[in-house]
Amino acid sequence: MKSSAQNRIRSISYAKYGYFFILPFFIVYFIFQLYPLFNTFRLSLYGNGNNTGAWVGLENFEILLFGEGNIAVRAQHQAIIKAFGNTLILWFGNFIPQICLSLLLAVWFTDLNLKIKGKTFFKVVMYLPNIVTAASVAALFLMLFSRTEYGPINSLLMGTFGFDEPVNFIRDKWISRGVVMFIQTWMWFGNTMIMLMAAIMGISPSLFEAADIDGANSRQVFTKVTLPLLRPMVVYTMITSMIGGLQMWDIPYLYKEGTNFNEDIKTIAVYIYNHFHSLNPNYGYSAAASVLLFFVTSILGSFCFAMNRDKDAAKRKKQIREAKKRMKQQNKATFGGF
Amino acid sequence: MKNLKKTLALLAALAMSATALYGCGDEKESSSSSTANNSSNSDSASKDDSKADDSSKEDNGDAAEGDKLTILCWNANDSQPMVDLFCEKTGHDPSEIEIKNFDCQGGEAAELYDQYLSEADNDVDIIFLEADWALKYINDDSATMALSEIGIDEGDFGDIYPYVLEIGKSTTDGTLKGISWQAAAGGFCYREDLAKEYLGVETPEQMQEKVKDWDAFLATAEELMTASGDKKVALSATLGGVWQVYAGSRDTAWVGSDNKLVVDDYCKDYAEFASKLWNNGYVTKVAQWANEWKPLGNSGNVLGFFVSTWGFGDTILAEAAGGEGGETFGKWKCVVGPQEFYWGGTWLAPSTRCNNKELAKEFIEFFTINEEGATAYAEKQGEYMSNSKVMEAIIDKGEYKGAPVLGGQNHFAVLKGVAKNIDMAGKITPYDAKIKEQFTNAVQGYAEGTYSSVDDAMVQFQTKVAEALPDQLNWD
Repeated sequence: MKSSAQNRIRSISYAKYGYFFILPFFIVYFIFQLYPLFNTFRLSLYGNGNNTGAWVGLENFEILLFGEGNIAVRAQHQAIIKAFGNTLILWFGNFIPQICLSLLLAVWFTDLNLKIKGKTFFKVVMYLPNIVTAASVAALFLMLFSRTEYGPINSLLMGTFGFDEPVNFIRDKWISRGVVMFIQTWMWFGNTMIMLMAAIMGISPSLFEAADIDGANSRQVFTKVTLPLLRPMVVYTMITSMIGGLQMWDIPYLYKEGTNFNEDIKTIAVYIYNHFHSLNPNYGYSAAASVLLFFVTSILGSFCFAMNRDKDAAKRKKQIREAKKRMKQQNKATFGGF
Repeated sequence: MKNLKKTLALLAALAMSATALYGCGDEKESSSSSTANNSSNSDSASKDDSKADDSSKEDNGDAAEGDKLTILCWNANDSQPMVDLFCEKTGHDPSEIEIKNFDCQGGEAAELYDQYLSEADNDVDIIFLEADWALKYINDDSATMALSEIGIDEGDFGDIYPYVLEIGKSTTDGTLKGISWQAAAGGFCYREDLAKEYLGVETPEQMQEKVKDWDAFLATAEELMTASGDKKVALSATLGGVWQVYAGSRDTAWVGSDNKLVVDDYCKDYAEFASKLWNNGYVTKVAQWANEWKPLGNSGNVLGFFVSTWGFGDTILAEAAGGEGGETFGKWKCVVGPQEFYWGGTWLAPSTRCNNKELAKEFIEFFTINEEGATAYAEKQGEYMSNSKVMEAIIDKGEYKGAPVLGGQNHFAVLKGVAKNIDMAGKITPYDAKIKEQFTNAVQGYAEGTYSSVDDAMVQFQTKVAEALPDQLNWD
């Protein structure tokens, strides 16, 4: 028989204090994240411009996706298609060089046979661009890549390399895209490299040793040992980079002359921003575009996730499930359903 | 040990709740601290002290906020000297006026104003408005009220330049709701030495003859290009600057009476003209306000800048000349140029929440109608006032010698005719800023060769405006 004191002690639960401690986060989250999220969905069903507040149902989506009607409707459709295209181009253009570069550097920096001096120094230097705010980076690159003969890069090209005309780094379609891709790669490869390095260092050294003893060359080690074991981290990087890439806003928004936007680097986030952050706002289109972006991100995200599924594990699971089923059926047959 | 843990937990909880509740602070307190910030921005240390005293008084709760004249603005560059002078001359105590400074770029102010105004308890009497977006508030009857309601009729503003009144009028019903103390008339400023070398121009009068209209401007640009040979001197610094002026020659509004965008010959003419300037090097490819813009002044590759009354100091021209003692400082001259234009300016409008009508009236009148006040402010700040009578008296008196960068020429005497001739009647719409932004972008694209023909560029212009203003305008 327990004493009453013992009973009391058992019933004391400290769990509720934990909730008090996480309460501030949830309050802030509900006010500043969840509410705006739902409000975006709500606003996407309401009108634009002078009709803000009028219920229009799914009209905004219809206009953005199909755009059949007058010039204002067609313009909206064209703008969002172009913005989605730009976003994908800019993302691919920065993700592919970024992952290749980071993978290469991560493998080099973790390779025990290569004795690179000053590893920490390089790691810090490569991570540094990520610490600088995008606003400063954009200002820096605008200054460097100024389109006139007075800009540093252009005066170098014209002086040393004998270019006749200054290169239009800011408004030319592919050159400006190239610069934005370069900035994004430069800003983020250090970050990706650190993550990949952490993952590589998590791989048991005995595997590398075994490969060494078996006489594998470094290419084989990379493709047969490092890469397969690195897959979860690569997929993680891909998902985070994709979400970040689809929401790419800062550099494309800031990389312009005065108020003259370059249509070829306007991303979907810039479209959203320009339509709500304006003297003549169009909340409906802005919110509808955000919702579309949300769905596209979710679909692409789950696609990446599905790709990452460990196929062997899934197969084993399936086999076990089938075996169980078979057993059950067998039992059923043997014992007549009991 | 146990106590230490408890204390730590308590501290952590306090810190967390303090950060969570930070935003809920007393509005009065935060506004008074921002006033204190303003005054610390101003130069005079003695003013600082008096302001600091004020805010401490406020904290004691002596003065209810509603009794003060509250002014909304986005920086204290104008408002602080205005309040200082107003109090000095009229004997009002500085504590009667509160400057609510949002301390941001003019373009961002509208959004912060909206936030502030969304709180019905927030006091506001006078709102500072920038020319670009003034109409957003002037057309909004729940934000601003007619000047006649605080006791100033349109007839009282007889001496004010007409364009200044025009911009302060609501485009929906034409009531006068805002007024500016400034007139931002502009002219063409050029380098005397280069003009003499390449164009043989000796006096500003001869120069004006060379740029008296757009045809002459183009011919002179060509002459200058040929005369300067390899140096390839451009007549004007930027295409943006030329547009600022050319925009003044539009004689219809951008939006017609049927609420449709007007794309007419004027647009095509400008596109062709801009393309000519751009591709022949008559302007440089530098953008307005880019880092390379002002250094062009001393580069020897540019003859002139288009500058408005506020740009003769460090904002534009003095810095372009290299500052005091700079290479070309004092070697610049100013002429009217091809077209009368204005560029920028700040308007004052009484808010519908104005509960200090007497003081608000006195304040607005002091800088506009009140000749003594306007004269004092012009002399103190070197500002070109919107009161034509005041300005003419100052010019006639001859004490003011003009901006030092002009080396003895009085630009006020040049610009006094400009301000009078700017005609904005019936040409203003609330969408001008958006439309002009898309127009210049399309024209720039045409000049660069992105669009093969003017018509393509105009289609692009129309499409982008349609995208930006789908429901605000009517579309086919």
